[in-house]
Amino acid sequence: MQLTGHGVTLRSLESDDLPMVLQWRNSEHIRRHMKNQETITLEDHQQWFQNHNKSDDLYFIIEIGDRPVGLIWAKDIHDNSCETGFYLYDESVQNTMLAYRVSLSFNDYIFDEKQLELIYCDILHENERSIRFTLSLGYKEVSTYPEYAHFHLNKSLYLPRRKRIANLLQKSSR
Amino acid sequence: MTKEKFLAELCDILGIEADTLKRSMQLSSFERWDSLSMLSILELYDEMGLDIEVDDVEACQSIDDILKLAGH
Repeated sequence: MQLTGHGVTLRSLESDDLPMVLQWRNSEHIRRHMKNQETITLEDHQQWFQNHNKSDDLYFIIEIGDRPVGLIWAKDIHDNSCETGFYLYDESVQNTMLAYRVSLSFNDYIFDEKQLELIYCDILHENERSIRFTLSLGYKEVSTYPEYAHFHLNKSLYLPRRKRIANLLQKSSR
Repeated sequence: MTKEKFLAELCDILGIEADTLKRSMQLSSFERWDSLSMLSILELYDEMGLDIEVDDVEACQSIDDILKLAGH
C-alpha cells in the first residue's frame, strides 16, 4: 500500500526494508528518543516483523522521491484508537517541514480512511523538540509518568490545526 | 507589523533574548531551529500578508535570510 499527499510518499514496510530499518532503529540519534533504548538484535527484529505481519499494525517507510528517510507507524489498533510514532533517520531532512507533511498525510489516513477516533503517543520528557511538535499538531497532554508524557489527538483537536498547517504547506513549489 | 515586532516574535520562536539576536547568526546554531519554528515563521509571514513559500523558509541559512523575506 502507498499513501501520497502533502508532497510525501508513505509505502508499506516490506521484508527487504528490514536491514535498513534495523540500522535506523539502532542508531544513537534514533534510539535515545525511544522508551526502549536497548539495541535490537537481528533475530528480535525479524521476529518483530513476523508478528507485525500477523497483526493490524501499520508501518510505512517515509520516502522523498525514491529515497527512504524514515519510518511511521500505528500500532495497538483497537477500540477505534491506535498508538502512533515516527522518526526521520536522514538528518538532512530533520530541519525541514517534512515532519508536518508526513504527520498530516498519516493522520488524514488514520482519521479518514481507517475511521479511528483517537491517536495517542508517549514522548520522553527530555525530547522537548518532539513534545513541542506534537502539541503543534493539536495533541493534548493527558497524563504524565516519571519518564514520559502521554498525549491524545482526536479529530476535533486535529482538524483546525490540519487546516492551518495544510494551507501553509500549500505555499510550496512541490 | 513593524520590524521591532517581527524581531520580538522571531526571538520568541527561536527561544532567545532579543538583545542577543544578530543578522549574521546561522539558524543551524539555534536549538529551536526545527520544523515547528519554520511553521511559526511561515505563520508570521502569513499574518503580515506575505506570500512566502515553504521552500523559501527551508532554504534560509541565517537570521539575515529570514529578515530579507520579511522585507527588512
